[in-house]
Amino acid sequence: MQPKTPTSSAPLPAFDPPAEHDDFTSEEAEQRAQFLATWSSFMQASTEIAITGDPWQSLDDQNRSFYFNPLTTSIPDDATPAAIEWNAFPGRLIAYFGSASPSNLTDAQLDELADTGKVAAVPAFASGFPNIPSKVCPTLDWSQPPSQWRTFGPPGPRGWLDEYCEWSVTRNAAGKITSVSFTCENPEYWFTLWQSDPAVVLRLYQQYINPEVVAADLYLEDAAGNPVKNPLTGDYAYNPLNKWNTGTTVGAMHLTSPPNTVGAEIYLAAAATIARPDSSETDPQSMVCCSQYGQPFRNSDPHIGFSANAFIYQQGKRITLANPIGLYIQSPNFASYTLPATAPPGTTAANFWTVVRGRLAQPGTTYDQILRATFAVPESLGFTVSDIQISGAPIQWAAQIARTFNIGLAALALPGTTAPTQYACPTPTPPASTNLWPQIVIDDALLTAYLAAVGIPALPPAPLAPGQSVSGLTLLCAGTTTAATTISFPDGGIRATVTRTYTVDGMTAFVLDLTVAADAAEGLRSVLVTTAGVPAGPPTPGLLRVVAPASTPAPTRLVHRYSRNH
Amino acid sequence: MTHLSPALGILAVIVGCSGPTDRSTTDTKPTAKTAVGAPPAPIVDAEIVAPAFATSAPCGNLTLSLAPGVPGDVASQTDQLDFDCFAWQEFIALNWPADPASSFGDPNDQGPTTWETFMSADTLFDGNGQPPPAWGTQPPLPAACQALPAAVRSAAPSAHALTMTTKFSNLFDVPVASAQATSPPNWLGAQNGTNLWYDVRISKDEYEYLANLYTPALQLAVYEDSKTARIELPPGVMKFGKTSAVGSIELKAAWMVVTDPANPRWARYKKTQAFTYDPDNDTCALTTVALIALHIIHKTSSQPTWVWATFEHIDNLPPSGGGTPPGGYYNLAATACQSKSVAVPDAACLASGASSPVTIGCEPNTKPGYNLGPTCPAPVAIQVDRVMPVNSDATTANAAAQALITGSDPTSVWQYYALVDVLWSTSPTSGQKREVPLTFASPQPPRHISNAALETYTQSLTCIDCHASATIADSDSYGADFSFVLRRAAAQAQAAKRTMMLGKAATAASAHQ
Repeated sequence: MQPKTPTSSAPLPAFDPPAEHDDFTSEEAEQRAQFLATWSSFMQASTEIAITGDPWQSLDDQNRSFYFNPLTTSIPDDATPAAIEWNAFPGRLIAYFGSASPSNLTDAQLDELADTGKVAAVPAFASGFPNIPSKVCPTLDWSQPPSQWRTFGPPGPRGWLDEYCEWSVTRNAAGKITSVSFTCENPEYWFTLWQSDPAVVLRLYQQYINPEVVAADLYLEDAAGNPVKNPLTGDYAYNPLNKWNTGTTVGAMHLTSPPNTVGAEIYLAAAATIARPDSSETDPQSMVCCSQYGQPFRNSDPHIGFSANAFIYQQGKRITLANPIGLYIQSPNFASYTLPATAPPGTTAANFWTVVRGRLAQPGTTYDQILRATFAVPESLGFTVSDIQISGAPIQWAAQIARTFNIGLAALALPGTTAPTQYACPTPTPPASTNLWPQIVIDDALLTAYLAAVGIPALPPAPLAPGQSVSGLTLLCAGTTTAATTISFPDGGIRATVTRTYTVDGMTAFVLDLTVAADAAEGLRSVLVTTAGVPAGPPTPGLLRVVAPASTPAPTRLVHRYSRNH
Repeated sequence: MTHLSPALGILAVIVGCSGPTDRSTTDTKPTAKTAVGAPPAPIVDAEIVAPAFATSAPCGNLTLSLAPGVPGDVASQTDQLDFDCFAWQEFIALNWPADPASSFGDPNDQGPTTWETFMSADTLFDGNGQPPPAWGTQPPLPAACQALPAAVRSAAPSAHALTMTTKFSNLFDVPVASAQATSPPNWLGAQNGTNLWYDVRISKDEYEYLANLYTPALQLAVYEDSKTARIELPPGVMKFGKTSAVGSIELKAAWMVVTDPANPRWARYKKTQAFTYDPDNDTCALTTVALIALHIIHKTSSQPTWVWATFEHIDNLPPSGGGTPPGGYYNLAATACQSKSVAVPDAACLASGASSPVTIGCEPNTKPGYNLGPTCPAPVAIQVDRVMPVNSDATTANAAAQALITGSDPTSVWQYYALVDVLWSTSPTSGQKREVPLTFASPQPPRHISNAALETYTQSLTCIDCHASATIADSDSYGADFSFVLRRAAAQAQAAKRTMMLGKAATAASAHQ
């Protein structure tokens, strides 16, 4: 055996954007720098939140020390990321409505369901999804009384595409598919991009979706239809479910299904690092039922969690998601594709697949980092995507293409420093020891508009400048309480007073007047909420971010740029 | 991507130059008897010298080992490569020589591998309502084989018993070793003009579970005595990297008759002796056969819908870029195919819709137009092609495994085998319905999987397309946990009845002596 070459190691200096993609021009260096700093701090906050877990409202859902923060952990430079992959076609459609279900839909009908959310020829699916059993653990219980069944989700105009891959289809006048766009880009990236420069987001929409897109199309609106501003940035707020990024026929700029976020990806991976009782470590379904980190029967969540957990439970290692953290389309397997006889000689199906954003596998890795891809046939060739066959069937639905490729992420494993401890499956804390769980700090009017439109948005940590005073910022917490509560900022440099409290959707909102000390150091800030009579939980990391004044966007610049639209 | 400061990089290099090597990391602490101040005790070579060749190699997130011992589960399941590497570890362990004195991959060793000592599916269910014989019992020889001279029989005490397909062979129902899992005609002729032979074996854990379910009635009772019970074959179990149960494994092998033993090509094959039995002519021959394909399916705790791996010999078909066939021919494809016309005088031999003479053309993977049998023509070569190319993950795993094998023994026959693909699930269903089809959720990889020698005529399907509907004997609805072996309880009973109708009861009875 040859002596092993020594390796160097160092912590990761910063999180890079997915696939290290750069959306800025050479003239936009300032915005790029601001974006990169915001993105890295966003991923840092998401990582710290994931490691913290839920010590406020759950027992045995913390102790996530086997998920390490790469910014504070030395990583050998020969550490190799391990790809974790799953199929892009929604697994839950197959589990709930496929051949092993009472609905017994055929594969072709499932493809139609994945593309449209309906199956025209099947009455129970003619207007959408029928209800499904709510009892899914330990196994899906079809014998459950239908009165106890629940609405199929996730909600949203293409919410059922919940494998971190969404698509939009373009057809010609004859109804044949001419182009399909697939995206796996997380919404956090686009919120961060918007915060850095909305003009860049607009430019990308015009480039990839439609040249007719105008800035106002992308604004979040309130109940009265008026655009809503984010006072912390001075810009109008971004609506991720805008008219150009909705459904499966208009356009797909980035992921929109509620669970399709990179924050969920990180949180899930960290949650899965907790070793569970042997009886719950047998397979992905038993793990997801025990650890409650995702939806059973998705191709993704149970597999990601079980794969991540195996590094700890089977191998005694610790993990993190490999930089650059992201969700990535993998190149399709075109072996089952057949082109029409009229295709030019030498042409293959792979010729019609284009990586639009992202990149193929990098040296030293085994997985592609494709962010956006299209499968399209030029009109000049005289045939369409629908004239191509997969496994002998013409492509009638984009879902047929989705069945031929995977989505992936990558984990980085290092030797463990201690033996893993097995914990029981999480259970709710007793009421006497339940704390409120801080979720987000956001302008109150903005929160109201987002909750009505998309739910809690995947915004970067609220940006604040030293010396800044802000009114009407809301700290939203999961849970409610009638006891007196105290809000503090353990990291220092921030003071706040509560001006109003209300509840919404089972959550508690504290409206704050907040002041940042003039000498406050830059960096993330945690928030601690304590409830009288309840042992204090730890603070929630990364909900606020103090940034240098120079990198705080100037509201006047951004307002002026878009005021012509309103 | 690495982030390394220059200062740290320099420091690391300096430490590396003067630091310990792997060799000195072996425990060299003085023993208790070492006197203070005395020179260290001499290092005992046996404790520190590595083998002359590597016995393990990284493969995906796993480590491949040249060692027996089938892993009970897949220790890392991140992506396709992990499963491909797991499949190779299974392949190595299952093909490890049963005789500890034998060498792994010795081309002259015709002794049984580990899996060849497993129970034959034909032996498990005999159709006479009797419990199966003890674990390790090899398939009984038909009377015609027993009638061979003792010297011949004793020359091959562990020879396989392989049976000819006939026009009576039906899909999955008759355990015929020369039939593929499709409707007749379901034989495959190799390029040397012989038909392939197939062999199904099951692991001990599966045998012990099925040993109590040896009649259709016993299997049906599982479902009728309970409203919730179902057939659940035992899975393999692994914890902290240690296997505590191997679990249920089924193997299906394809063997090719060695007609030209002097041809050096056969030094690239695992070979064994087999009794090939033709029930219609009641004739038997002792034949050398070579392994050209192997299915391995394995139920594990984390993959309760089984891991489906399939291997082939690399000389079955020309490589994608073409090449020169070792020993003059590929097993399943002619480099210059020519159509053949075969006269079929007995119309009963013809496939439905076929007429004599039958043309055996060069369109790949086309079923022959006639069945085999006493009044039927002999087999001829069928042109075969691989519909689904071997993918890059399998290619990576093959390179790792073949390099490891070659490094240990440049003559090893196992370097000439290759993984074709592995089917698994990212979200396997542990709680199945009692009725078929069973659920196989989230299949990986996103492509068809087939073995050119074992599923020649059904390459547009994948394993689960059929196995999800596998039922117990005498039932079209109750599931058999993806296994077609249980149906053999009924199939064997039918075969036994037919044998008796043919006046061969004595043959069947003597076969169990």
